[in-house]
Amino acid sequence: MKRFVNSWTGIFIVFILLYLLKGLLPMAFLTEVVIFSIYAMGCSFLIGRLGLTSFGQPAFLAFGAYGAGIYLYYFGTNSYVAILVGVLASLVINMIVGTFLVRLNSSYFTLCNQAFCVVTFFIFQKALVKWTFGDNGLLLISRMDPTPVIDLTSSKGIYLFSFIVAILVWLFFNYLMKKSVFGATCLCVKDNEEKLRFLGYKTFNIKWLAFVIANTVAGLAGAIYTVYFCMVNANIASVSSASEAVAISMLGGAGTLFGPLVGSFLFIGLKDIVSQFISHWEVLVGFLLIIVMLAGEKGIVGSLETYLEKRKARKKPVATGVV
Amino acid sequence: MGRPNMVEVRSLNAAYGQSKVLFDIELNIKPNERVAIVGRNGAGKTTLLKCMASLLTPTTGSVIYEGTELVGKRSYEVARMGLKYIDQDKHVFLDLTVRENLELSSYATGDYNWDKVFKHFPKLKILIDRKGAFLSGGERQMLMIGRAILGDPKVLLIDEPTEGLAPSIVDDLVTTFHELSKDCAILTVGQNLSFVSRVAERVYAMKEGKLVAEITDEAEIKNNSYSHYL
Amino acid sequence: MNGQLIISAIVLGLSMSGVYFLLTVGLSLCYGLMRMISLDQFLYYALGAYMVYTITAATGSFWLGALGAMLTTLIVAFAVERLINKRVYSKPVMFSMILTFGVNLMGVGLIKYIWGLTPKPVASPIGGSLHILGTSVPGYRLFVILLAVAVYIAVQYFLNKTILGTAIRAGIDDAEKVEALGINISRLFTVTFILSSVLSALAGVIHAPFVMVSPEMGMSITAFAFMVVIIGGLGSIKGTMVSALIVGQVVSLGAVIWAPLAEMAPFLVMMIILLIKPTGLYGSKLMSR
Repeated sequence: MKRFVNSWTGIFIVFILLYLLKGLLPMAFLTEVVIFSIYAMGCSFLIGRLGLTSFGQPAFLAFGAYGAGIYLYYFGTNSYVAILVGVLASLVINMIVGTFLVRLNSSYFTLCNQAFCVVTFFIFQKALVKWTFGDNGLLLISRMDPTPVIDLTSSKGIYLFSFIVAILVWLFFNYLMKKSVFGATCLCVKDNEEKLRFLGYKTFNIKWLAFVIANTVAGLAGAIYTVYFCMVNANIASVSSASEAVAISMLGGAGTLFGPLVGSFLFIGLKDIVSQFISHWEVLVGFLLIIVMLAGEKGIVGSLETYLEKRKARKKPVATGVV
Repeated sequence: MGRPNMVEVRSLNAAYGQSKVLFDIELNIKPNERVAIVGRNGAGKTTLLKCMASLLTPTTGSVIYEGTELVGKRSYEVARMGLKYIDQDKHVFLDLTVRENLELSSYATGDYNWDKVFKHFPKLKILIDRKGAFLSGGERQMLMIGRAILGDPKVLLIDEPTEGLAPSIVDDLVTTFHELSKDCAILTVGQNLSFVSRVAERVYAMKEGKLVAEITDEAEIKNNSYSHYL
Repeated sequence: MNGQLIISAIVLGLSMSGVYFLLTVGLSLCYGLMRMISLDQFLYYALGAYMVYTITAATGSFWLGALGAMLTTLIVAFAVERLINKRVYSKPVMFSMILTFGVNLMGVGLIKYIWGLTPKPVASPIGGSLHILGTSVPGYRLFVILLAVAVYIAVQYFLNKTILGTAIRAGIDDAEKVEALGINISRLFTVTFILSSVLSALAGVIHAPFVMVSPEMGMSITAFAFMVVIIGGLGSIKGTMVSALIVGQVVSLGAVIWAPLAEMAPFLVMMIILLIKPTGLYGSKLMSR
């Protein structure tokens, strides 16, 4: 069981399950879950592995989304290229923004990040209104040609595509978190940045790289989002949705591999169900966040992992050394 | 000695997460006694003091002070009951003047009689309007002890009082300790054996989280002949 | 661009500074003493605005509304602190941020549930206007500026001259040692939190006549509040005051030059200040722990 949760084969099993669910649940729901799980992966990584809470995630989603949107609206018709452009755009912006934000300690980082998100929203809504059409947004439905291999303009095609992208992203993060030295140093930054600095690591570089990776993944999700909805407007960067990525990460378990998927599944599912009964689902999201934080902040997958580890430890008692 | 114990620590265990730091500590302090715990870095001396002052919660065991169980009490309650902890880092509130530091302690204990502070530390009276940030290490130590003796505590837990202080100030501290013990018991912790030999009536040797020996013999304390325990 | 426009922009900026200051002084105090970032202050801000709207509509008196809003917030903040917030004081800042964000979100949802989504107007309690250098300035704006100054003086007096304030300043330095002196730090935390929340509510109350009262009003002022605390340095009251003045002017003068600048210019200012001093103008190294 432990092996299942941690090993990369688990990823395939989960995704096969998800693919089989296709028959049971609406396709639109599943597509959204998969895209959100890509989106939340970066945020979850930042919170769980680096100790940086990013309430500004919508901004980074928006860079990818607008990168793809602007390409499709003004330059080309190929959705693959659009997604690539979106990712590159967000990569470049993240590299610049990262140099400013990552220097700050974690409290200032969070506050600046959210302020940055608001500014991004205003840039897309007001300052660049000539090109982005503000709240009306860019309508792309007539500008997208069917693409070869996987047709991204069809709902089935985009599901399959985001599915494959999600698996790749997850394999990448699995490698990053479990196998690489970089992942280990990230955890050290969270634990005690100063000590790591004394060891001779340049923590700025670690945080910067993690920031760029995590937010470029968010940009990737944004680009897919644009192609999926065939439109992009300023609301994508709105602060009121800033809670989503954090809520998903915390719900599923920050820093775990399966957290974002479980979190997205629950979050979007609850949002869909709850909004049928009461119009203001914020109450529920807020309530869940409070519960998760007070219950030990580990989230669903995090708690499961701890439970399994404990069970394993009970089977094989380890002598606790004298300090 | 027939006097009843003022503080009794019974089979106290403490741990940081998974790693245990204190093992079955048994310790007692009598009224007006000067007791020292000596041990190397990381032996668990500070942890023990913090557990006694309720700044840390032990995993098991109890601390009895004048018949009352202290484990589980909040640290401000313990301080108000007359058992005060003085930290080793000589950290007075940097933004506050000496006067404000003392006022704060008076407010907590309801004891506004500052004369006894100035009797022990006349220098504080001169420095009364100086901010904590501009005090020297010795002055800070004076202020830490000075503000602790407001409210007439019965036990002072003083962590590493000599650390980082000049020898002449250490000499003064020896006198101060003797005078203070007329009114209260003192449990001090340290690695400075010469200081301990001059103030302590009884010494506990601590090693790797255990109290390995109790030295009551005056000559042994004078000659530091217990160092083989450490 | 003429002189009158600039003068009225400056006065508008000053009154905005007043609102920002009242809102962020709580954030700053909570960070200083409890080492928490209390995002639920924005809920109390919105709650203050809604309560003043409701009570003013019912009784016709804005001042009664203001009092009622502050009392309601006092009760709500007390409940939130005792039931939820106090559990995360000992944990890293991240916990309090996400937790209080959840509280904020839940509160905003409840506000939507109680008052609905339609923005509500609150009439300005002070009519009339004064002429300053030939420019007509609304009296209410001047009142807001004076109120903010009075609150600043009162907070400074409280912190520097009263024993509770001294305890708070000591706690900002090292909370554990305040407790070791025999002071009930947990009660001090509660007092500070309630004080902060009531000031946030006051910010909502005095801001209500400027804007329409809407559920998202807390969200839309978040960014400016954050910029103020960051520029000033978390935990410093004086810094908060200075940076509220800066941000207020940058917002209102920026808007005179080019409308979108109102949102972007303070961000640029913040970035420049952070490049020079990563802990803000008055934030010390101590605070960056």
